[in-house]
Formats: sequence, structure tokens, C-alpha cells
Amino acid sequence: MEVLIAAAIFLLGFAFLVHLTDRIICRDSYDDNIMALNLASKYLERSIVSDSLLTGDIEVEGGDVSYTVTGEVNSDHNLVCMRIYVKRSKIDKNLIQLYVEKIID
Amino acid sequence: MPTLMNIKGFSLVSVFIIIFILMTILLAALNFALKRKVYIKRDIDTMRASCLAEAGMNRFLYVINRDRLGLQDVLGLELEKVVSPDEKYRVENALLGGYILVKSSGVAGSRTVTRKALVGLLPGPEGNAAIINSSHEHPLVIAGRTIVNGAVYVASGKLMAGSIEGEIYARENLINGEIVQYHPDDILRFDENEYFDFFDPPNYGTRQPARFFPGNLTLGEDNMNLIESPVLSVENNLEISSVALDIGGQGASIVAGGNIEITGDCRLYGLLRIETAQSITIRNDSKLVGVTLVAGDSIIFRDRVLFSGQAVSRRAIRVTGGTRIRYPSLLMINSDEKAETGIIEFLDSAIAGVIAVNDCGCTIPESFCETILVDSGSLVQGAIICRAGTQLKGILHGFVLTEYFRLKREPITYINWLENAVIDRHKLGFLPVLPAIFNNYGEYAIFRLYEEI
Repeated sequence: MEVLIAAAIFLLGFAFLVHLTDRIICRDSYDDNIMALNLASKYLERSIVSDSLLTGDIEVEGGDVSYTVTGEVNSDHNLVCMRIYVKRSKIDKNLIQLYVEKIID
Repeated sequence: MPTLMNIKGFSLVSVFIIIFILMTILLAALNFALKRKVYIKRDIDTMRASCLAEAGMNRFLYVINRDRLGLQDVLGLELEKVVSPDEKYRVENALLGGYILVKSSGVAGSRTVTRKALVGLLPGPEGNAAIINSSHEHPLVIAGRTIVNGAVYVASGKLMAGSIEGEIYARENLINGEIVQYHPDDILRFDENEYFDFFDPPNYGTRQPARFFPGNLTLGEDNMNLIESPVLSVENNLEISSVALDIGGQGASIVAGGNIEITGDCRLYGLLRIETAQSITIRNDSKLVGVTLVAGDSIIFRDRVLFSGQAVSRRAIRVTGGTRIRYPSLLMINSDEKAETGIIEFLDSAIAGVIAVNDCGCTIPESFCETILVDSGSLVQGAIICRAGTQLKGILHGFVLTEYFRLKREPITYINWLENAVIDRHKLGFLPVLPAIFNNYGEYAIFRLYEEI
């Protein structure tokens, strides 16, 4: 019985250690990236549709973390060149930067 | 006393073992995290590279649609943009069977994503032609149950309903579109040099040394790896039977002096060019995707073949026996000689998504030396372009540009008569890019996209 309890505690400790190391070193997980990409895409569409072209930050609650998406715009007639930054506010680290060009009417 | 000393020694060993286990666990966790970090960086770079490749594709569409450059100025133009030291894209384009193949490579960090797209023309709002009839001498006569959905451009300016004795009259209101007399300036007529540039099939690996086989050769499951050599050359006849092979993008060529037969449920994929001075026959449920066929004599598709690619012959192409050809494939007769036969035939329930081009040198209507025939029961989606007579009895989802239509009723052959054909221009979603352009075409757009990482 004691051995089983010790093994369970050991496994829990190991899992926690892996999780902790992952969070410290990696921080941004695969799911975070996917979420960031989706947010950036929505942000892009929204800015083009509203014709406001990324005038400010957008904060989005995604699960247990809030993200901030900002963008830079350089309009070349009907071709909009953008760089989109996606940050996670709690850590204040760039998750992803995307360079995008879109044709708008 | 000796017992106590043994216990102390055991404790020391235990401590070492525990430290070793803990170190192993820590290193394992660290290793896991570091590998994951590398994986995530690759993942992020792939996303960035994909966005860059898409940006390059959009840049190309912008240049060709909005920069007011002509098609000839854009073809072959290389676009490159360095966004930051580790972010750039590069766009190349070339014509492939009447469409523009655009290749956009985005580079971010260590990752490269390449997007390839076939770019065609979106149909214009109205007035795009279902029939472009170039005959100045003969009026276009619509007979039988012909239905035309789209505009009819007639060089002679005359279109009339006709009837062969004992048969029903056509009704002009079965043409659902305007009838326009066009002036040659409205359409860029085909220039032969320009023509070759548009439809010249790609040649893969012919500069590489050939692997030569004297006599005849049969390629089967046992020796199919021979196809993977850059150029395989056979002195006489070649049979490819029951081979399943994917060449991929590297490109390879097979050249034979005699006839080539592809049979026995063959599966050939990728940039493969098969060439002979004689005939090529593809049959028995074979499937060829991305392949280029070049024959000095005839090319025959029969017995439920599935084909996607380009086929160029100097004399004849026959599509029969339940063959399916995927759009956009190119079938072309290309000959400078005044050959007695120069014919593309769609027979026996063939379904073909093609740009069919007959470009034989002979243009004398009375000689009927070359033609494109769509028989009743066959369906063609795409474009039919014929410098001579076209016999259209089946269904065409697309448009036909022809010098004249031909209707053969023994012993009489009617010149510029169209009977029992169905031409529906609106069923062709995307149009090929051709050296014949109407002012009312829409803009260029992507209709097929591929991505490679």
C-alpha cells in the first residue's frame, strides 16, 4: 500500500515537473498558436470589412488567457500590407507575428 | 558493529541511486521541453511562411489585375519582396496549358512554404461568347434542336435558322444570349508564334543522359524503377503495364522510337513526359495524372481511362470508351504540315474537361482535312478552339472558337451548319487564358490551389 501511494506521489510530481518546465521554457503551446492564428485572421477580416484598418488593439478572452492583437498597415492603393502581432497579455510575449497582403476593393 | 557499517554503506548507495534517478528525471523533463520549444518554433515559422506565400500570391493577383500590365508583361515576371531579414517571398509564373501556373514561396526562419495555383479568368458579367464563328464567307446556320446559352459572335454578321429536308426547324429563341457581329479588332486572332508559347508542353529532363534500351521494352512491376531515371529511351515499341508510380515534382521523360501502349490498370502520377514519333494508346482503366503525352502520330484514350495533363499530337487524338478527362487538361493537334487527318474526336460517352485545340496548317473549308468532333452522347467542359471545321453534336459546357462548323449528311456536307448541339457557356466557371481576349472578360483569379511545405 505504501509503495502504491509513493508511486502515485512520484508520478504526480513528475507530471508537475514536466508541466512546470514546459511552461517556463516554452510558454506558448501549440494550442496557443492555433488560437493566435485564428484571432489574427478574424482581426484581419474585421478590419477590412469595417474599413477601419487596424486602428487599435483588440483584446480577446481565449480560455484562461487574454490575448492582445495589434497591427501595422501600409496601404498601396488596393493592396493592404499588414503585420499583425499577437500577444498574450499576462506574459507580454509575442506569440506570433504574421505578415499579410490582402487585396481590397 | 560490522552490521551497522553495512547499513551505512547501503544508505550511501541508496542516496546515489536516488540522486541518479532525480537527475535522469530532470534531464528528461528538460529534454522534452527543449524539443517542444524547437517544435513550436518550427510550427510558428511554418505559419508565418504560409502567410508570406499567400501574400505573394495576392501580390501577383494584384499586379495582373490592378497594375494595368498586359498579360504578356506579367508572364514570366518574378516578384520578390524581403519583408524582414528572415521573412521574404518570391513569386514565379508560367503558362501551363492555357492557364497561369503561379508558384509563390514564403520563407520565414528555417521554414519554406510553397503555394502553387492555377490562375484563370473569371467570366465577365455578360456578353462572353458561347460561339465565336470566324467565317466571313458563310453565315452561321442553326439547325435541329440546338440550344445555345451565351452570346454568339459571328464574323459574317449573319445567323439564321435552317432545316434539312424532313427535319424540324431550329428556333432562334433557343439562343439565350445576344448575337453580335464582331470585328477582327475585337478579338486578338491567333498568332502562330504566340500560340506555341501558350501551348508548348513542358519537357522534363531531356538534357540529362538517357538510359537506352535497344529493341522493344515492357515495363511492369518488376522493372518499373527504370521510369524514375531522368530520361528513358527505347529504340522501338514500349509497353507500360500494371505500373503504379508517383514521379512527383522532379520530372522524368520516356522516349520511344515506336508505338507506346499504356495498359493494365496503370497508375502514373507526376511530371512525366511520354514521347514518341508514332502512336500512344492508353487503355484498360489506366490513370494518368499530371502527365504530358507527345506523339508524332495519334493518341488514343479508350476503355475507361482517367487522364489529367497535356496531350499533343501531330495527327489525331481520340477520346472514347468511357474515358474521363479532368479539367483543365489540354488536347492539342499541332502540325505545320497540311496533313490529311488532323482530328480530335470525343466519342462514346466520353466526358472531357479540356481545352481542345486543333491547329493544323490546312484551312481550306472544302477539304475538311482537319476538325474537332464532339459526338452525340459526349460531354466536353472547357474550350474548343479550331482553326478549321468543328463538328458539334454533343454537349459543350464552355465555348467554341472555330473557323466554321461542319455538318456531314451523306452525300452532302454543310459548311457552317450547327445541328443538335448544346452549348452552355455559363457552366464553365473559370476561363483559360488564351491569346484571344475579349474586352469583357472578368479578372484573373485562383481556381485551384496546392500547398507544399
